[in-house]
Amino acid sequence: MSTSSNCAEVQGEIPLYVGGDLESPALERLERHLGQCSACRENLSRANEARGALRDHLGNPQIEASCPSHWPGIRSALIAEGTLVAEGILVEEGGTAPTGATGPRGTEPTAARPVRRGRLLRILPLAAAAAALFVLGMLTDRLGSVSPGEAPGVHPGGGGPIDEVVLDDGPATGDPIAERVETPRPGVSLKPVPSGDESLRSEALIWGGEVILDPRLQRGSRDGAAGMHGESKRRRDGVH
Amino acid sequence: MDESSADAPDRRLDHELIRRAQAGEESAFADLVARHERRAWRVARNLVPSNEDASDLVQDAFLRVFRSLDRFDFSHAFSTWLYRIVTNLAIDHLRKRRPTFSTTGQDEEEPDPELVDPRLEAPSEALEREETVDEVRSCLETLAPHFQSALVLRELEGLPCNEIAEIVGATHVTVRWRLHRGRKLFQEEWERRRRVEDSGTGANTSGAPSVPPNATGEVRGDR
Repeated sequence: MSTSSNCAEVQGEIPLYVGGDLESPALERLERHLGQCSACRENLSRANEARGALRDHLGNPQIEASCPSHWPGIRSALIAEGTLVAEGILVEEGGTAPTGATGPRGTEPTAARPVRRGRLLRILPLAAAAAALFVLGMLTDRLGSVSPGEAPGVHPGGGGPIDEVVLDDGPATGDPIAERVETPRPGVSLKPVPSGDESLRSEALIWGGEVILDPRLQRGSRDGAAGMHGESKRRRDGVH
Repeated sequence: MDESSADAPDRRLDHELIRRAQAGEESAFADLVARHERRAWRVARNLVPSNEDASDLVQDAFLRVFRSLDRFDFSHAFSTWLYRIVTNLAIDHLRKRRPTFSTTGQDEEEPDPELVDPRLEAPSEALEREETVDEVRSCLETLAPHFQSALVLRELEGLPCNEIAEIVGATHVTVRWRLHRGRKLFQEEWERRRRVEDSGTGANTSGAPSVPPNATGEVRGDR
């Protein structure tokens, strides 16, 4: 390979070489060439000079010294957009500042805890509804799990005196749950409570469905798990 | 990105501050800003023409950081993420600030005169302060934004090519090419100005164009 072709090749690599970005084997090839070629050494010198000027400028300490404090502006912007309340509490994006938020800015960490009001408000009604459904489901299941044969005067298929469970006689709503309730399946019976047994109902309410007064209901509660789901849904759908 | 042992304590502290800020602690986010604002400022200030622009850019970057804090990936360094936001904002700023033109139908590797018309540059405060700073900055500003950002991150922050690639969203090879071209173009412009100065005419010290104004170094497809 001639010297001139080496020069052309090497000069193309000098911009990477001056910054330490040239890798093997080009690095070794270039350094070997520089040892023999004064013209390329001159080019290297010029490249280093330009790069030195650039680095001197970029590393100018005056630039860094002129850096202002950005936190006040950032904080103001966060307050303006509602993600930070004046008392130092970060809130969820899109949330609002809690009324009467406590603690001055920059005090104890507890004062700067987030108030996840949006999340709390979303969770509480759901939890309450779930708890109510659970209690109702348990109650109706306990009451309704009495075997038809052991409940005198009551027949799940109809004809018996039913006062607790009233099926909707209206037209079908199209709701598969409601339709399922109206047609009891074998082994999953609708189990009404005998008329006038108010004490049983109140007891069940008090104990969250753990009916202990009537032995037949106690027995029914043991095998009533299968019916619990359907009964709960029936309650939820407004079927009394 | 590998985590060097020297950077590990800083990185851990950053991550701890982020977790506390995610939990809603304002002072943690304030500390995060205080820890990184000078580096962010240094990068921004070397890419945009004025202190005001750089300050706006840094503030905007931290606001974006805050809004996305819940989605921070703890497998990365916070500084890489911040640099990425700052650099992208700066590049956007530079592209809006001046007209650029693409060279088409040309080989990327050809030594095209990829300099923007310096007469289009707006004056900066730095240009009024110091003559050398003036010249270097002017030379740097003649480069296309992606060359500038690669040079600033490499020469100023000393970041390796792979980390720059992660920051600017390009491949390692592209970053090396941008460094190569950026240094070469900077040197050409620097030497051109030196020659003008040495000739004593002074006619071109304000940056008369040495190349057609529609050649900017913006090569299509290299963003």
